[in-house]
Amino acid sequence: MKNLLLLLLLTSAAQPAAAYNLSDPETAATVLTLLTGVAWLALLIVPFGPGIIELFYPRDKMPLNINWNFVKDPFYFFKSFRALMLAKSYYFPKDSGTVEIQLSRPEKVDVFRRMEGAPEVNYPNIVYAKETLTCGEGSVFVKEVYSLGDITSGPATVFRAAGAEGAFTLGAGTQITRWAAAEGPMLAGENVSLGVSAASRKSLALSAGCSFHALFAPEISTGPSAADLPPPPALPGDTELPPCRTEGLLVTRAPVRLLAGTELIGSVKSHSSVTLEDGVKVSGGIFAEGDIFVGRNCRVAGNVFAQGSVAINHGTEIGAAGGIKSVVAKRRILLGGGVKVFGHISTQGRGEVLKA
Amino acid sequence: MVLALLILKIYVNIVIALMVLYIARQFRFTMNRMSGEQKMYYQDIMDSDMPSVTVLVPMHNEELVALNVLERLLDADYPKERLEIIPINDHSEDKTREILDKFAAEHPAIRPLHRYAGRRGKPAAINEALQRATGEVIIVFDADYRPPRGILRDIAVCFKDPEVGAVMGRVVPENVGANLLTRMLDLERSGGYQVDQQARYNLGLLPQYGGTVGGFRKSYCLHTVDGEKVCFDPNILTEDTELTIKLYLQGKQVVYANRAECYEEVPEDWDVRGRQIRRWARGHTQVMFRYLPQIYRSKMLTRRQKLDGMLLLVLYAMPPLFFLAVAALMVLFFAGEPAYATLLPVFFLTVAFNAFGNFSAFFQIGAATFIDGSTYRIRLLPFLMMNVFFNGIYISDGVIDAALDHVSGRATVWQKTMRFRKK
Repeated sequence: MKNLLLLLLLTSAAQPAAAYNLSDPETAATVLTLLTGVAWLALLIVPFGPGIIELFYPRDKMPLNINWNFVKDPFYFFKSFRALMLAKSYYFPKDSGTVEIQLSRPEKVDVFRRMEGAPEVNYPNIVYAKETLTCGEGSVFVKEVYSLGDITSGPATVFRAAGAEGAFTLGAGTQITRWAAAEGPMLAGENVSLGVSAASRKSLALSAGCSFHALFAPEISTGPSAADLPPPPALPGDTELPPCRTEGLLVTRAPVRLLAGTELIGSVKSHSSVTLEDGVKVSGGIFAEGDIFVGRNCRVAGNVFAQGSVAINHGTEIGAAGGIKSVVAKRRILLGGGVKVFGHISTQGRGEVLKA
Repeated sequence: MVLALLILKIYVNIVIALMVLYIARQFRFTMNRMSGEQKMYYQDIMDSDMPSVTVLVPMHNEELVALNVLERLLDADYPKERLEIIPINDHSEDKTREILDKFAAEHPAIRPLHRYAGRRGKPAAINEALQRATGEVIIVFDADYRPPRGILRDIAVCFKDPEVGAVMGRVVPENVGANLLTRMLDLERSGGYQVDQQARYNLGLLPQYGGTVGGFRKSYCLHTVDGEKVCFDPNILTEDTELTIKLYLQGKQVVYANRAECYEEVPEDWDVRGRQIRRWARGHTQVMFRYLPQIYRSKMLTRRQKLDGMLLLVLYAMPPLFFLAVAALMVLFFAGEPAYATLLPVFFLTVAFNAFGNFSAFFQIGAATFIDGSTYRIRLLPFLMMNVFFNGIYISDGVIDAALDHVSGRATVWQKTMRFRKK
């Protein structure tokens, strides 16, 4: 049928063309003009072709997806995984053993009452501990880990993701690929990599060399052994706030420097950088389009937010006990020793506790 | 005669220069979005001390949609003690009043305002509601919107920055699949928000508060008129554009929150759409008449911001300027200047096709659908050529309305956009 149509089309097109004498220059010019017109029209219509197909046979006519129920929750992954595990725990053995369950695909779960792993063991399945979980140096957990009690990892352990209903102690050099969460306190030894997010309901203590992207705990603290960063040098164009008690909002396009001992009742916003010298107190937040440097023993009651980097030196506190405040930087966050942040720390780049 | 022709030639060249400027601006935005550095919004801030919020929902005969928006707002993830919802029944003649009263009886956070006296319209309604609003931050949703759970927090958190005066979220059409018009509006919205607004935010220019799915800080916006504290001039039909410009002139900022997304219902009828853009063009041009010189003289804005602000305000005046330039070309042709008439229309059409007449340029829409991952809807892009002329005509009408408003000082009448949601 298709061939027949093609033949008809060709013969009907050939018939009038044959009737023309193309050696006549006038006729040839007319035919050329007609063909050009047809080609022009075709080129004009062609771009609409895919659109016409999409219009009559739509493949992409649904509205863009909006997550209706999204709320910011640092424990989101832990809660989701816990719910999955507890829902399936009915099928788990009373003591220890391996069981296969259906999650998004069939998964094996190694169930332990109290797990005390030897060093250098590779765990290929999900691990579920009914009491506590302790693993030896160099253990590798390929899948998620969940413990109804504490988790204590030996040095250089690798977790994909782990959640504990109790305390979570991460040995030096431990690596988290995705998330770590604990209902109890979380303690990270030296050079621990805390993955995409780490959260604790109680407290989160970081040793020197720890790296992170997002942290959450009522109290996040760094160990005393971490080093300090030198403050950026003062430049002639800087807006300086003298060391006295000042009230109000400080909003400026220039870099801002709050000199040592300044007490500001209000917030700071700069389109450039903000530097707090040692011992500065700010009752509000600090916002900068550039970098923020916070010196030693400062107190900032509000949030610290930078489109650049944030560096916080020894003895400084951000927020206050009982509340939640944030330190957010797009590029990088560097924390010195003895720093306390009450709430949340987040960066799209890399966060790091300085080494001694 | 020679002088008249010279003026026409100068006029045509000025219009061309303006259009090239718009192309350059929109191309810059597109490149920024595709390969430039993206500025972070405040969504990562977690704070136990969120500002008190009043959500205003202006409603005129909204019985079809009132239920949805209120249910969604009651489900919002925001501290209940810091949240107040004021649905504004603005001279409704249907069952809007009954629906609001029923909700208010069941939920103390909902405190409806029934208006049956005074001037009708969104600016006047919001002014009256502001008299009783207790929130430090005012968030506005149109009645046909369906806010997701986390959006109030995402919008309100930016006010922790003391410089922020207003914030705009992203509007996403919900009834995309209804017909060709809704599908084209979906593309326009993508380009306008995903590329244009975000790029203006990235580049430190003037992202725009859009009057819905956004909020403003009450203390920065109120001023006293006849002993009453008001925020908006009821004669201005685009109170959102006016607020944007007023904030920038005060040295405050408007920020854009691409993550704060909310569904809206776009017009399914060409006539309704035409009236809607005519109103937008009228209001926008009213703001242009009032604020263009102030932007030029402002000491609060950088040079780049001034240029962006002026281009933003002149945007709706471009279609009538373009049509006048076409008329000028015809005059030049008949006056014996064929070069202008034969060469420039091609250029004009190319420029028009790429840069304006739509609410965002074609390359912006292409980039936006790419970022959104919408693989097939981008095929409808050529159909937007129709919109160049359709929008151009209605926008020109709106600009003429505004010019007459400006000259005569007549009062404007608010026209509500018709809803299409089924019962």
